[in-house]
Amino acid sequence: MDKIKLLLVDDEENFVNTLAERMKLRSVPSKVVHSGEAALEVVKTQEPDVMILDLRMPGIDGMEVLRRVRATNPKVQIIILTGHGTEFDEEEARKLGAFHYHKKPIDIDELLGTVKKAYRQRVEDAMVVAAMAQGGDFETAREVLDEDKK
Amino acid sequence: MSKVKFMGRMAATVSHDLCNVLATIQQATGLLGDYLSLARRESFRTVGIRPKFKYHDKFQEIIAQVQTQVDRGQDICEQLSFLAHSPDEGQAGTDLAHAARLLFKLSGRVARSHQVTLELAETGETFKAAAPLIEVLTALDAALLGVVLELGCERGVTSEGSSGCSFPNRRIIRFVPGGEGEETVHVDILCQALDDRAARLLADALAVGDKTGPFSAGVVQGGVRLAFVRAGRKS
Repeated sequence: MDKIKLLLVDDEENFVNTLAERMKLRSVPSKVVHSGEAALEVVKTQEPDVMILDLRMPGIDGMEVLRRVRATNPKVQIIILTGHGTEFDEEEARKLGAFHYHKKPIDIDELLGTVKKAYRQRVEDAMVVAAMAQGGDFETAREVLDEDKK
Repeated sequence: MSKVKFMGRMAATVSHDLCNVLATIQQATGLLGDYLSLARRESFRTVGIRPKFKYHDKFQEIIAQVQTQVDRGQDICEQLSFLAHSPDEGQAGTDLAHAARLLFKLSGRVARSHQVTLELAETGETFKAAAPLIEVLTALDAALLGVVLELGCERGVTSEGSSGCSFPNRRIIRFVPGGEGEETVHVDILCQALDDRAARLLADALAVGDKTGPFSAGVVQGGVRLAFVRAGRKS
């Protein structure tokens, strides 16, 4: 599990720093940022496998981060974790391609379970694409990658 | 911006902030529990050289108590969030059972202090009123308070009191959503302790109190009926 590259994005510093520490005790180290802008910067330079993302943040909010990351780095699996949470937000996030939607407060083991599933999904997608490319089926591999971007 | 929408927006903000506070408390106490478990594992590994933390079990008990309150707080925040967003809804119609369920959660304290039990008849069908959630909630709340006041049980009266509290089944208030034809949907608010005269007085009071509202009030056997225009009805 220490191979997962996990990025935590939340402007509530006490909350997210504690979450990171608990993840580390469970052998899942993570990088923490406190704004949407910082998250986009990290995604550009050190693409994570999984991102846990708050929705309501000053500046670029979580929904906008979700939109942009799905466009530029579609392989990143994004888990929304928010204290705001309306049904509309959840619907919108899923339409934009969020892997899962959780409301705060959340049990750490439940959240970790979702992180592991998201990572597994990412690995499986990568394996499918690699297998297709190895078999020479570049067209299908390209289609799978483009499907991710939708 | 109307006062209702303003209050809704403020309540949504408060709910969001409260959820974040609860989440921080939850994770911090969870981290405490993590370190306690870690200390325990280390004491086992040292074969008793490093003794177990004396108050380990007490700490675990307190952590469990905090978690229970966090769960309770989360439930309250959800109710507040629903309430906060209720002025936003309505174009697609309001599910009467959903509105009643939300009202029950919000009215728990009132019910307890007046020693009544609230029940919702789950029919499995959906009855949608052509009215915003806030208006349906206001109507149901007015009816509920009317019945509670009619039952007349004061806070702290025991079953030996003269207020009629000695028959628990008479203090059950049942909400029964339903619909007749394509025109209307309704919620019947029923209580054994409500006689015909009291039901009539309550129905009249509800009608007077909401002259331009989305519902009409009438009497049914055992209680009152709030009838709404059915959502999606072709005009």
